[in-house]
Amino acid sequence: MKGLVHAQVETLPAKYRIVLTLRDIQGLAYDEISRVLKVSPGTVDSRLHRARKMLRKKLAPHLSPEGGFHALS
Amino acid sequence: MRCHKAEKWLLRSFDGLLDEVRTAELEAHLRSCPACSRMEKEYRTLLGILRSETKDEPLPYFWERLRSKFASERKSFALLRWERWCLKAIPIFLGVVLAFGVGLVFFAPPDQAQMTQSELLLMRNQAPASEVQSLFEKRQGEDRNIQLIFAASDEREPARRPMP
Repeated sequence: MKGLVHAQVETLPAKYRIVLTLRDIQGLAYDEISRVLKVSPGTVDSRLHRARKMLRKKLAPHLSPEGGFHALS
Repeated sequence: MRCHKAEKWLLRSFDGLLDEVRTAELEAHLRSCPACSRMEKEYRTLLGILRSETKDEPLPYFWERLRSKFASERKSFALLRWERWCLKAIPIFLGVVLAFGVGLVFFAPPDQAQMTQSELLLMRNQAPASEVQSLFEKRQGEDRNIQLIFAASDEREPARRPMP
């Protein structure tokens, strides 16, 4: 399942993938990400929001009605 | 609360950026909306998978190198943009210069040519040599003497005789 999620993460556009990776995988704070990428925290927020939405949309066929993954249920 | 707003607040709540009042409002919405409740479970599962990754410790000075790489890429990107701009600007500039030159050739008014002194005299209906005629007449004797001097020197040095 992790492989599937990470494969879908890799298909995201770079600017969203980088923010998602830095926040949700590396665990950096918003201000750290904004310093690293030289963008405003608001931009980090919007990119992260969009990245998560895109990832959920990409994984929608694999998600069960209970909210989990088919493979996990 | 609308579901679109609920999703926005939900994603902010995963990062701890939602205050207590909004959190309570969001929770109330999630209890009343099955679609948003399912969405919340999906996001929680996804983020759980992503955040459960065992993170390798980065190499020493990883972040410093990453920042310098970003900075260098930013510089090269700026340079690339400058080069692209130049590549566009040079032909445009040459085209403008060419158009200006063509315009000068075809549309510029013809310059009035500078008239010589003789032409001016002719325009005034005067003989061009009339003013200097008296001088020629005065110097006639001197010129003859000079010619004799040259002729005498030429006879002594025939090699220096000027060709007619």
